[in-house]
Amino acid sequence: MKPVRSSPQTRLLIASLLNRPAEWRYGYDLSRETGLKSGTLYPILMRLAEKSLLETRWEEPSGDGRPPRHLYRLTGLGQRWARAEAPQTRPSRALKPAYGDRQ
Amino acid sequence: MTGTLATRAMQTILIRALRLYPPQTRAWGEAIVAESDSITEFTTAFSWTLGGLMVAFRAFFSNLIRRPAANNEPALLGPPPLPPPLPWKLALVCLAIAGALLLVPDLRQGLSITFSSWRSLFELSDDTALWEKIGLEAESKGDAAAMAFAAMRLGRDSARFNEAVRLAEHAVAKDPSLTWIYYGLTQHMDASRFHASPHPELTQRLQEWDPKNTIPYIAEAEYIANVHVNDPQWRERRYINLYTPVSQEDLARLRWLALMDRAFAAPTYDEYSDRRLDLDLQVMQRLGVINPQRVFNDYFANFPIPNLRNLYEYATLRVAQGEEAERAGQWENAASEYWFVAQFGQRMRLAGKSDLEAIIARELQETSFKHLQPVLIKLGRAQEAQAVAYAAQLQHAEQEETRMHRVSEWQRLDTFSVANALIIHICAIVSEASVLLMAVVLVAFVLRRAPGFVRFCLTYVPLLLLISCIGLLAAYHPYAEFYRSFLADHSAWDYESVVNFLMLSDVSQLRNDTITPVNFWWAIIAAAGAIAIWLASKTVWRTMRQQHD
Repeated sequence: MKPVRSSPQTRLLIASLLNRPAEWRYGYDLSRETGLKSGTLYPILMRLAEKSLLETRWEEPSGDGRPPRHLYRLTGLGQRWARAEAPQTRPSRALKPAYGDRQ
Repeated sequence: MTGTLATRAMQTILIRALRLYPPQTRAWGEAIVAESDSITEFTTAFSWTLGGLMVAFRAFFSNLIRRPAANNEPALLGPPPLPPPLPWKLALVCLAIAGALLLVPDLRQGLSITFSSWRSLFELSDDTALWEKIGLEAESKGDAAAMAFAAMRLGRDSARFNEAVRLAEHAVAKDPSLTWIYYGLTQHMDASRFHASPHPELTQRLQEWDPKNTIPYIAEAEYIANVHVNDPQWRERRYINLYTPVSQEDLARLRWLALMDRAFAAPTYDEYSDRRLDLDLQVMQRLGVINPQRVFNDYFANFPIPNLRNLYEYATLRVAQGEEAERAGQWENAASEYWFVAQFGQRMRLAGKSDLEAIIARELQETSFKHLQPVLIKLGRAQEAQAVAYAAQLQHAEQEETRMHRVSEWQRLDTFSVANALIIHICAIVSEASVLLMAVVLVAFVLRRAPGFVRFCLTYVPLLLLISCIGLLAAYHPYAEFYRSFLADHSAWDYESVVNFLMLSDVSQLRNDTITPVNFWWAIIAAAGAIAIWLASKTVWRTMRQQHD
């Protein structure tokens, strides 16, 4: 398996995922937290999933008519790889929210 | 994206964009759509939608160029569905029909014309070697017509002018009825060394051979006028006292006046254009070197028209002589001068092949009639004067009509002809690109590379090839019909149809416009090339960066 290209944006994302490694995260939340736009975020998520560094699942239907959302978290392999990559992340970038204010 | 109409519209766009995803990554598109339901702000929704579209297009194009190994990656949702079967039958039928269409001569002719018009932007077509070969072969076989044909073509090249004269003399020696080709050679004075040519006898021979025609005298008169074009006293040299020593310039002016007298008095006006076209078509067809570019571009780019300024200058001189006679009370002499110009104008108008000649001829007639009418009244020829006045009005009306006709003609050429030429060029580009793409696809198919690209191309390119071939055939067919009718009977050709053809094949040579069908499509090709280079550099940069990481 080829290694995932560790771009600054990728490192930003894995740092965010690594903050709460056990928690399933939504794409929009990750986008707001990392400041990455959807056009950048999803290709990285797709690549991580392809390399088995990220596990994904669909949310259970809530019953309020909203469509189920997609959830993401790092796999064990992903966490080990992320810990090696995350220290290179520049924190300043992560402070800029992509969509709206941070909650 | 709940709430506003705009956000709902954007969600709809994202849902529509799901079609761009290949089956194995479609779930990611659905994930982006599902997230969009949580976004309420318009700007955020807009930005999210834009990003979602980028992901969709990226997935679409990645799938086209993905190698088989890449498809073995785990899919997000279950096993990847089987790709739809290739429409082999449709592709084969399209290819078969397109192949059959490519056998249609009209289609091949259309492709050839557009292709050579693009090529001529980089490299001007030069058939000199072909004309030389034809000339040599004709000499060895004693083929006078082919020698004359080659002589006229080679005569345009100053470096080969002497060779052209030798061939022409050989041809005329074999067949004296071809003496008119000397006029073809004199018409290329500007492009040849005719000014300093050791062959001034060509026009003399032409005058001896065709003494009742205006053109041989004009040919020599034009030569004299061209030589003395920078003489500031050229126009004043008509008042020459023959009892005093005269200069070479004075003698030249006298010769010019004598030649123009004979030219205007000659009973026929024949530029030999019909004979020339007959000879061109007959020889090119016989030797199998005929094509539309050679027939139209070459022939009409070198259409023989006498120097109209020269004619106008002499006519003005005769009208001025008439005015002098009027001032001296010599009414008969004045009428005779005006009739002289008017009758020449009539001959030129009836026999001239170009609109320009018709315009100048009418102007000469109109001017001379206006002068003639009061003189005829003074001579007591009232009925004749009335007829002349009516003729002057008629000439004026026809002149206006011709001018308007030319304006509307160019409007049609600038709109309909350009549009049709663009359609033909785009169809030709698409069909040639489709053939090239099919070749690349077949190589990729044999090498088992880029299956997505192969699948996409095999599905759509045969269809594209068929549509472009049909479009080219339909759009080019009227041009091919005109070409056929021209070859069958060239006497009925009209200026607009010929220029229409030139618009398609070599408009840049005909008009000095910046935007021509050819230049337009080259601009598009250049833009596409720049995008391709940019994409390729980006890919190389990414690959290098990946290797570095």
